[in-house]
Order: sequence, then C-alpha cells, then structure tokens
Amino acid sequence: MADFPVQFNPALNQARLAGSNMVFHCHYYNCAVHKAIEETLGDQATGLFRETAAAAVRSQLRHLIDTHDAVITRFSKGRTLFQQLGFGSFDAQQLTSAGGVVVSNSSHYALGWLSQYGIRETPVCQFIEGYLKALVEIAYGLAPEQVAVRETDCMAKGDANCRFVVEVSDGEDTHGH
Amino acid sequence: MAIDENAVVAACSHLPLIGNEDGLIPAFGLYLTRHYADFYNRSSFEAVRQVEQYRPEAILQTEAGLIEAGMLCAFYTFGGIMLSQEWEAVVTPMIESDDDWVYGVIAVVNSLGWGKWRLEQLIPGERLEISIANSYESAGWIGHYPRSQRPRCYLAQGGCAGIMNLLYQGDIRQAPALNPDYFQEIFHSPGSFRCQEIACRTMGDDMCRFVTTRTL
Amino acid sequence: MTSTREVACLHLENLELVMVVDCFGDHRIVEVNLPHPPEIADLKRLTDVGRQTILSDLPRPFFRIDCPGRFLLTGIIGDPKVRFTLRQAALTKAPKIVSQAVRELLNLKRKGAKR
Repeated sequence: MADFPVQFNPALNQARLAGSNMVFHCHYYNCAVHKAIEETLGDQATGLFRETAAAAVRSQLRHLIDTHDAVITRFSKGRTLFQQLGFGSFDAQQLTSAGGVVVSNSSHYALGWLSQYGIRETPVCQFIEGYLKALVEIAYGLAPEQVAVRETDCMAKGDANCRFVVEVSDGEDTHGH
Repeated sequence: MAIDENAVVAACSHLPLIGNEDGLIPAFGLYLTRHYADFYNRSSFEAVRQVEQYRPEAILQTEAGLIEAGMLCAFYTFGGIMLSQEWEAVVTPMIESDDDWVYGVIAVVNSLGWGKWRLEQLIPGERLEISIANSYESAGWIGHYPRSQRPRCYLAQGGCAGIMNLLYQGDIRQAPALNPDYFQEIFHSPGSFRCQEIACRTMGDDMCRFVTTRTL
Repeated sequence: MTSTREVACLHLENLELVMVVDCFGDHRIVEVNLPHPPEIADLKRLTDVGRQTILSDLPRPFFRIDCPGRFLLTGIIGDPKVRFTLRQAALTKAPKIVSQAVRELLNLKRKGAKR
C-alpha cells in the first residue's frame, strides 16, 4: 500500500492524487521534453522548469501536509512522496529553517539524462529544485518569494551526487530570483 | 479483436507501481515516474507560447521537438511494454492476430493516466485513427489558456506515430533491441509513420482525433 | 527489457546469472533461468519480503515481489526465466544476493552446506 494512494478512474484513464492529475512517464520522455524546451528557450528554460514544478508540487503538498504536523513529519511526507512518485531520493538532514543543503544520490532526471545524452555542462534537475522549493515553503510556512533552491552539483555533469543549496530569506530580499 | 481492455487495465492498475527506497519505479523494463500532468502541460505550453509570441517562424520546429519527445516515449515505453514480462503475462495470452498488438498496447496506455484512448480505425500497415475524449494535454490547455488556433496534444501525436512505427515500419513482435539506431531506422526513414491531430479540444472540438499515415 | 544488453554471464552453483545493463546504464538487472519454473508455493519461501503481488487470475500468473534493500523479483508462474532488479545498495553484492534468493525460492541447499 502506498503512503499516498493514487485514485485511478478506469472509465476516464485518469489518476489523481490530492487534486493533481498524475501521468506515468519514463525517463526517455522526461529527458527528451527537457531537451526540447531547453533548445527552444535556452537559459530561460531552467526558470520555467523550476517554477512550473514548484507550482504543481505546492498545490499538491498543501493537500497532503497537515499544518498540525511537526516540521520533521512534513519533510518526511515530502520525501516519501518524492520517492513514491519515482523521482529518486534525497537527504535533507543538513537543512534548517535558515536554509542549507540537500543531497541526492538517486535522481531520476540526472540518471536518465546521463544514460540518454551523456555528460552535460549544466545541472539538469530543475524539477527537483522546484519540488524542494515547494516542500521547504510548506514545511516551514514560508512564502514562495522567501525560498530559492539551486542545484550546484549534478550527476548529469559528472559529479558524485546532486547537491541543492537552499536559501531562505526574510521575504524582503529575494536575491532577484 | 481478442483483447479484453478492461482486463488489461485492471491487471495493470493492480501492479503496485510505487517508488522503492532508491525512489525508482521499475516496471515494463523501464524506470517510470508518476509525474505531474500540470508540470508537463505548463512547461510545454509556456515554451510554445513564447515562441508563438516572439519567434513565430520557429513554431513548427518547437512543436516538432515536443512531438519527437512523444515518439521517443512511444518507442521506449510502448516498445518496452510490448517486450516486458508484464505484457507476456497480461496481453500475450489474448493475442490472436497481429492487429491485437495495437489493441493491446492501447489497452495498456489506458492505464497510464493519459485520458481514454479509443481506436477508431486500423488499416494494418497503412492508417491508424485514434480519438481521446479527455487527453491530459488538452485538459491542461483548456484549464489555463484561451481557445487555441492549433492542436496541442504533442505527446499523443508522437505516441500514435510510435504505435504504427513499432508495428508496421519496424516489427516489435520480433523483439528487436530498442536502441537509438533502431529508433532512427523506424521513425526517421522513408515511409515512417507520422501523426496529424485533425481535431483538438483546445480548438473547441468535442474530442481530440489523431490520424497516422506513412510519410511519402 | 528496453535498450538493455548482456554484459556478463556468471555461473554460480549451477545457476546461470545473466547481468544486463538497464536503461539507466547501470548493472541493476540480473536475469536467471531457474532449474525449474517457479510455482506460487515457491514464492512464499523468500524471506524479508516487503510488498508481494501475484496476479493469479491471469492465464499466465505474473508475480512481482519486492524485497526492500535488496531487489524486485518479477516473473511468470510456470516460466523459468525470472528477473531481479537490484537496489542501488545491493549492486556490489549482486551475485551473492541473487543466488541466495534463488536458493530460498527453490529450496536448494548451498553446495558444501552441512546437512
């Protein structure tokens, strides 16, 4: 039994989890769409992936994470959901309400990109950046403009693991993000 | 037609396709994600809309990139499904004719959360027509953007072309290795199949319709 | 398996373990031709099983057995070919883990083990 059961409606071929439509896709598609959009938008693509990911995840986590949950429980739920949906796994033990670092040694996007297209020069896990941004916002009760997540190391660049730096501001300084 | 679609969908939906402790979902010989439809819809549509606004001359190229992603998806995902143990267990015992491979893969697609695909016409080796009453791509457009002047179901276009290329340009029944060379051979050679979305809900049609034929 | 290729074939205690590269380019998959096809009763011998799914209503019953920390085992009842998809943490010990699981599955004694 999944921690977060997906409701499948066979009459419509529609799968829903906490208000969101969920669709199965393999890494070939995930990475090919990523590549197509990068080729179209260039540098602007990273911001688009990050923001669309954060919006989709934020909307769902608001349904799944109880405001009465302890912070550690909120992170645990977010991490469990991430794994359940097949995006990989991450370790957020070095993260506090002031920010910190999240590390992943199993990223669907990075592993997928490597196997499909080989080493790249820039990080590829913008979806995870967006996911973590939404999770940190909800876990600590922060506004979207207070949280910025950037991937500094990425297995798709040849790094040993994927490393995400989480910055939390007081809300006035948004670092131009 | 011997494929019992309800039985296929029921069997697939009973598979616990849930990430393990590595956060991976091994199934059908692939690693799957159960992704956010909104993420793909918004990412793709925002990219396309930017091109439409600022570089309209590049729109066909942009759409071709998204359709190519759909074809890669079909090649590896549908191909992987048709070579998998799951297929062997669930679908193979129902197959009585070559055409049943098409019905079978559409039955499996109807467990992926992509909206209800319906095979309207199959002329083996020549033409495939599929309708989708509720494609997730059209749903994503309708929820956020005004009525479209052009069809928007890029994944589905690639998927429909993929079914025909896997079965009638290549031959998935012979269990070929699914690699980039084989993809090029069956998707980008004379006579490869391409799909045209002839009706789309984003344009005000009642459902999305896809016609797949060979390129000349 | 999509885009996989055989990279090594080990013979271990009369078992042929075929290591293949998976679609992530890793060596997570081991295919084994069992000495005889597994039956449902055999599956119950596996230890430390997490989630177990047997689609027994199918004409060719499919099974999917997840052993956390070790592997996912998939196959068809009556078909000797089974597939282990290993966890990342288990990759370095793949042959040992797989051969142990096969012994459990088929109730085989380890060679040289005391009776």
